[in-house]
Amino acid sequence: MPQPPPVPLAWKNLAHDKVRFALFASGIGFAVVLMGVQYGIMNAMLDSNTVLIERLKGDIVLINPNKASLLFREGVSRRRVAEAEGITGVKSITPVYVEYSTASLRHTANDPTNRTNTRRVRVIGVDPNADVLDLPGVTAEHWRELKTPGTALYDRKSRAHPDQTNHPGETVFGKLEPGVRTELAGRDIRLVAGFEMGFDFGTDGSVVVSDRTFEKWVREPYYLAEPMAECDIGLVKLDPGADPKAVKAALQKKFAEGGDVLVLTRDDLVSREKSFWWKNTPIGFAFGAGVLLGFVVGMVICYQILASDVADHLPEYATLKAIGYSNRYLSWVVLQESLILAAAGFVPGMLVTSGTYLLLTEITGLPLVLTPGRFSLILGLTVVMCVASGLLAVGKVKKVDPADVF
Amino acid sequence: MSSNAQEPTPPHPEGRGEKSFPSPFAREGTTNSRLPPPGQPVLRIRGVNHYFGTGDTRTQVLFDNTLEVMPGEMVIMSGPSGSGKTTILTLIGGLRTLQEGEIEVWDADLGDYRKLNGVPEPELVNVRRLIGFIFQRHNLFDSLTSMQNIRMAQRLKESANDPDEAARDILTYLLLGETDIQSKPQKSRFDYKPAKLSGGQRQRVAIARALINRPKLVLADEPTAALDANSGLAVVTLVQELARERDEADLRKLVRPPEEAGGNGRLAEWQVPLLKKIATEHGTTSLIVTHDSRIMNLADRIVHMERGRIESNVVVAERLFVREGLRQSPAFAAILPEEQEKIADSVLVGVHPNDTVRPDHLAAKPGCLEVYEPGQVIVRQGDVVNAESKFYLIRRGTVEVFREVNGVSQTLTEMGPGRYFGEVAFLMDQPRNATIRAITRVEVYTVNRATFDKFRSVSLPFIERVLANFRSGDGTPKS
Repeated sequence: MPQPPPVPLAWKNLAHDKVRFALFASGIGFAVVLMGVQYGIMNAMLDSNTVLIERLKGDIVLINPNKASLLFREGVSRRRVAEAEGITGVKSITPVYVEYSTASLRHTANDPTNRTNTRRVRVIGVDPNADVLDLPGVTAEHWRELKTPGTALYDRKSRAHPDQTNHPGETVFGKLEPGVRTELAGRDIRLVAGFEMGFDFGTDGSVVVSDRTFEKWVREPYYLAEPMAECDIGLVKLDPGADPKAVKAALQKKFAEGGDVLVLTRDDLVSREKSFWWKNTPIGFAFGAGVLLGFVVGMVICYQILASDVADHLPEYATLKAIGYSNRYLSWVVLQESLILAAAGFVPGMLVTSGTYLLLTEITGLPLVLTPGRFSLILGLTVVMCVASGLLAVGKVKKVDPADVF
Repeated sequence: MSSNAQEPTPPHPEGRGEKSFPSPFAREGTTNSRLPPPGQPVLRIRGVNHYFGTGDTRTQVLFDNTLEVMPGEMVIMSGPSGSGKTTILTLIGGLRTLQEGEIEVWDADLGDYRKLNGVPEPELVNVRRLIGFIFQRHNLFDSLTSMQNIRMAQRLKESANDPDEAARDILTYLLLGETDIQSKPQKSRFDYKPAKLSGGQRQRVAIARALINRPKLVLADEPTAALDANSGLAVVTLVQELARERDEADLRKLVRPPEEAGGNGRLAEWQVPLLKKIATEHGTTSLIVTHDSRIMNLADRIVHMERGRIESNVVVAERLFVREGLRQSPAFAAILPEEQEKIADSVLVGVHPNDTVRPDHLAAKPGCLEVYEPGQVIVRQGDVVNAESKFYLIRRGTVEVFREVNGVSQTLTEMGPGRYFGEVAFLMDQPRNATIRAITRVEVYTVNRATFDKFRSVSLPFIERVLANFRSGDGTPKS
């Protein structure tokens, strides 16, 4: 038997008055922007601390179990790390050194007025031949140059100079560019090339040096005996086709007895680092509250829209009930409206959010990145926000009395 | 013994009493209508009470209302504002929860009655789907076109017809299509939203929505209040056609020139075949609250409510039947017409004269109607007349009249519906002069002598005064 096609009542009710619908969508969009930006800043804060880890070109990392964050000094024995070489699937193990506390960078410009104060800098020491860091813009030639002791790669995205009017484009370390001679940990150093990594909670920027430079410039003054006995990260590269899970399990087994080496995938380490900052700083609370605020504001806006729609169409809904539509159908109409509002608010809201991300990244240098996962989360929050409002508004439509139509 | 008292009375002029009244329950020509068993109503209301408010503010608004509506009847609900008409409609329609009493609505698809007492809200939805509601306010969705508003109703019931074509047909019939009443082309309103329609046009779309699924029960509140004469007639004719099929020739009488139609409206030539196309099913019952005299005159049953009670429930055909029967009897000539009508109304049982009464009808109106099986004697020759003696009007069946003369039984005549007997004994105060026996199952309305005398005594002084005036006028006595 032919059944007439369904009438898209929810859509028609909302889109009937286009100006009103645009206002509705912008209301929901506002909430999406609020949630998106707060969530973006929160993630950027956390991401900024894991950029180094994500730039490591290896699948598995070995660290000291007591190293709660990269910021802390606890290292892992190079000798113990080297023991992993016999494990099936392990191609190579390379030590990576990171120093936060003892190194400082100061610009020693010829013009004394351009010299900067000494500021702490993160120094990353790697074997230039080992290809362990993904630094776009840094060529093989630059890596070769880095083998010369007293050379360094600098971070173009170091924290910007606070006085950009008089120091345009400069970082807090002064004007950094290839060929500049400056001072690292009190010793001369020549900048070879720049890369982009950004600053974080622990530092205003980074320099990358060879392991030999690292030893001489950063470690030897403080660790007289065996300055390179420990590395911060043992970076494990796998043979092509090797199963990271299997290798990780084998490594865990290998180091289980000593309890002095923690085996993690690179992603595990990223999560561990983020978790540290999440738990030990108010980032989660501050920006989580921002996201929640956006959610609540969105819910209130959405509820107001839906409740007023139900109120505006009370006689019509009562009529639908009177002619035989169930509460379930009417509830579905309201929920459909909430989903339409979610979609109508989400699209422009995310466009504005993306633009805001670009703008904030440009202004602050924080890495505001919209990953598919984060996109999905904001979408999910938007849908939950609107559906929750819809469920509240459903109560109103259920109370509609069909007898009122007479 | 008076001989004429029990003698057969001549047939009524125009054969009244011998022919059937047009019955709303006629099954001929009815298609695809699973109606209740013969003699059973489509709607049954028993002892319905209803209250508004709770606690100290609880107020009773309906009082022990009982009503039956037969399939195909057009019932007009009348009564002053606040008399409970709308409340009872909402209870019948399942729009309110029934508190006390019983309401049963025939479900053609189920082939049984749906009881409304104690039914939870989700099940009331099924009852509502049986009913076409026409509200005083159109309550169309502003965001939907005429077609889409109708489609909302169509989605509730599967149909063998093309839904779009069905919606266009009914809108066209209601003068919202591409042809106007003068058969001239006009812009159709199929895709108009309510904001672009006039009040009357919106109401017609709402009526189309109510009737598109050919409901077996229509509940309407002032359906024609916002309509012009032609649209009103189209609506009423459609409701009637859904109730029972009419001859096309009969319908064509409504195709008349404007000057002849006046305020009653008219149909266009092209509307008649379209009406036939739309109303493929019959047996629809309608309960209409209205003050529109054009509809009142078409009612099969008029239910009058006062202060929450059904004060009168009159089947129009039955009232006409009884009034005409009494009017024809010479015995009632001495009673004023309005007093005759009171007597007639006092014996009505609320059942169409073409339909057999049930025992519960007799129990509801004791002393108004008697039923005799074939062979039973109704009046016996020689019986003494007293205060309990009765006048009889045959409602259904056939009786034979015979008299015994010198021990020889002599059949005088046979009588059928609309004929009466027993009145002469009232007037002459003599024993019955003939025996009346049922040939078939016979139903007779009865008026006892006490009632007759009461109304006669009221009428006589008036008649005497009229006669006195005549006598004192030009001195010419009128005898």
